[in-house]
Amino acid sequence: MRSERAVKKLRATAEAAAYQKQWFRETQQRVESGEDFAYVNADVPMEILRAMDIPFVVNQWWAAICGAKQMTSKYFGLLREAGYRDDLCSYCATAFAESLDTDDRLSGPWGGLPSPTISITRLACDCQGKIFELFSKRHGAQLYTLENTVPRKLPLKWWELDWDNWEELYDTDRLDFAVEELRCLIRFLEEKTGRMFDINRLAEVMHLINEQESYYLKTRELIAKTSPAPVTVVDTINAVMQAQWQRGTQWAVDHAAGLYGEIKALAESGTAAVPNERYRLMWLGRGLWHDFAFYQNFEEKYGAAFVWSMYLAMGADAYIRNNVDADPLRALAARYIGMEDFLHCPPWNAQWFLKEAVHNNIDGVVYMVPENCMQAVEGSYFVKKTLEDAGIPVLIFRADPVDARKWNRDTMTALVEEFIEDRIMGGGKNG
Amino acid sequence: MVIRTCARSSGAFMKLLYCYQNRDEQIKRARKAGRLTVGRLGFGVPEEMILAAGMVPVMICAERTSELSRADKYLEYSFAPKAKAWFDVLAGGGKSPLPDFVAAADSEDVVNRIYYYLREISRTEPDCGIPPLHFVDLLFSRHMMYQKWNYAALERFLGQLEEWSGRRISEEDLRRGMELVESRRTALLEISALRRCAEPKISGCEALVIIGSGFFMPPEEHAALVRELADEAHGWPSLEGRRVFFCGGAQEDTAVYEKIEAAGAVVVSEDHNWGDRCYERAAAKNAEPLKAIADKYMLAGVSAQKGLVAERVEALRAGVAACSAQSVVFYTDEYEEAASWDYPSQKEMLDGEGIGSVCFCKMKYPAENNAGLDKALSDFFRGEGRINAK
Ligand code: SF4
Repeated sequence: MRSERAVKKLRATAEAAAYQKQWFRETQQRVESGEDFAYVNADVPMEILRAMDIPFVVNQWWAAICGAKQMTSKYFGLLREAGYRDDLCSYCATAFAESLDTDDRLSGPWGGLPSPTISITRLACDCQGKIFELFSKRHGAQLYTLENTVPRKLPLKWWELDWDNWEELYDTDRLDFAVEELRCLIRFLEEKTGRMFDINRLAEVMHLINEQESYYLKTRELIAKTSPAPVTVVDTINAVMQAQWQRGTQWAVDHAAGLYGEIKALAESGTAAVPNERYRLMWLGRGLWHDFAFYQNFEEKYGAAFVWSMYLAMGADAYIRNNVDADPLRALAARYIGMEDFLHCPPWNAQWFLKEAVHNNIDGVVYMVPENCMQAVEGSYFVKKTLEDAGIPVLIFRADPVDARKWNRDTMTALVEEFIEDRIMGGGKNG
Repeated sequence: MVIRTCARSSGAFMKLLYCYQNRDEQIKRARKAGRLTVGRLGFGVPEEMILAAGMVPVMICAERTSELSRADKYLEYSFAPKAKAWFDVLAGGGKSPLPDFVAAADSEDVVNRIYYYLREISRTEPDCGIPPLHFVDLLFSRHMMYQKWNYAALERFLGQLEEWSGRRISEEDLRRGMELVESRRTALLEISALRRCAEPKISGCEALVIIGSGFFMPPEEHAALVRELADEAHGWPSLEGRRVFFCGGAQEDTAVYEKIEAAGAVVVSEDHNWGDRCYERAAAKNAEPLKAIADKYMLAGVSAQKGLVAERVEALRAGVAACSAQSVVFYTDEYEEAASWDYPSQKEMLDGEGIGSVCFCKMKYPAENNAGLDKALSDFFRGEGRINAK
């Protein structure tokens, strides 16, 4: 039996969802009372805003909410009516599209996005700045952009260096430059909001993040070594992503601890997410926000469980920065400049996926390459080859993470079923 | 309109056309003369510096006939067709000889991606034959800290060129490289004047040949031929037809302009790198050479890829006014997406100014593969039509 809606069973997932709603309502109230409010892209160093107590919403999180609430068809229709193409950059353009909805307060998710006064993005592709600019204009927000530089040094195992030895990991001038970018951003935010930045508060935020991410590390380790796995990505993606955007708060630490505790208890009691687990699948790419139930389609029939997504694993490997107190700004720079590189720059992404696939005892990889996103053009050839050379079969397909219009669940299910039957059962590691 | 008899009767034009059409010969000529070549992937790679190193700058461009076997193997579907062809050439899939070295610059995002892929192939397949690579990490947001970063990026490029060429590059060398490029620039300004005047003497197709041939021949030779041609062209018959400003993707060949001009228009200016944009900005003469060069590239006309929407609207307003265009043709190939975000705001501005426009996006490359394009263009120019061909 295939369910239309994903079955999420963790308390932590439900708690994160409830907290997000409550937090969002409070944010709406803060905005209504005249506070500055920022809308930021996922790769922006939001720790600065956290340290300054400037409320913010993350673009990708909001797009995921809109996708999950099945709002994107409406929003992309509005884009078309306004003369824009409706087949571009859906992940990043959802909020701009929503801003065209005159009815947003009534029909938007959770009462719609409050109007930001600040919007911040990195120029990591050619479209991002333009989309944020258009969005800012709709809301009367002030746009701030950060540049993106290209890594010259490429030590293969970035995950062995990023916690402590970031000076060795990155080109020194890139790090210096990123620190300078942070200083400029701080100055802008201070002037815009009238609040003074406090470096000690940033250090506290960074410590809280280290604590939170260390729970993700434990959780990732636990899932990696437990078969059948106690949870699947349906539980972890939302629980981690929602808390990740609250990083730097005590709530996020507590939530990560609770998530770990809950999964540990399941593992200890021998409770499996997919009791008949035979194949462990890795999901590469952004979350399929408009159809989470898809991930569960292969459990009953094949015992195939999606146990891995980047959301938890990035938390485990990419965020922790030790010895923060020596120079919190440099530690933060060493976190945010890596995000784009680790995920989208070969060989860093391919090598990491391979390390994770082996570590998690993965039997097959389902890799969603998004429609119309140049930033997610990340060397899928190298990723596939690296994994397949190690004996792990990979299925690549095109789909959109938030726009359901072109998604056909039956066709996609058939595609993955064929992959499981032919490449995993018939010839992969266990074949 | 294509290329007229008056142009074909000009010795200077025919020499330019020969270089434009036989692009491969540049590398062959350089090899014969014992000179090293540096491929420029992206317009942000400063040719002045390559010239200063005594090397030959070679613009990487699409081979129209390439089968794209290498691109199909390595690249995702969402690379624009011309970008696929650049990659294919550099990854050894084309028929053209490869330059000795390749420098890439982030003048558009797709170049970064191609650079990453080439770098990874070079790392994992050492016998792949891809020339040694260097990335010129220029940033285009207009702030002082980015300018400082760019100066450092060019210092690194200078070091790389010294290593490749095996010689020290002096300030004097840099100034000489700048002078060569500047001389070509001033010659091209004469052509621009002959396009923008009340009675244009040079068609868009002819202009693409005149400008683009400069990428495939020595600048001093190019400048001399362009000057000779400009003198002759004063006596060429004036062109009639709707004055068009072309906005959008770079046109590495004349195919799209041929269609626009065959539909009864004259392309009098454009904002892409194979047209007016490539020479519009001069490097400051009295600044330190490396800084002057960095600023020239950083502050060149707002590009479709790096400009924000409001900047692009203002740039178009100014561009249209400077050439007294009566219409604007927006044209981008499939997966050349960034400009699509500018278009509605640009159109709104043009509507306000009473200037008609037509938009072709997601177009196939080569342009011949677009059924219905000729008709859509002639319908547009025949009427006051404001169609949006998709
Ligand atoms: S190309 Fe990708 S990252 Fe860039 S704006 Fe579009 S969807 Fe976003």
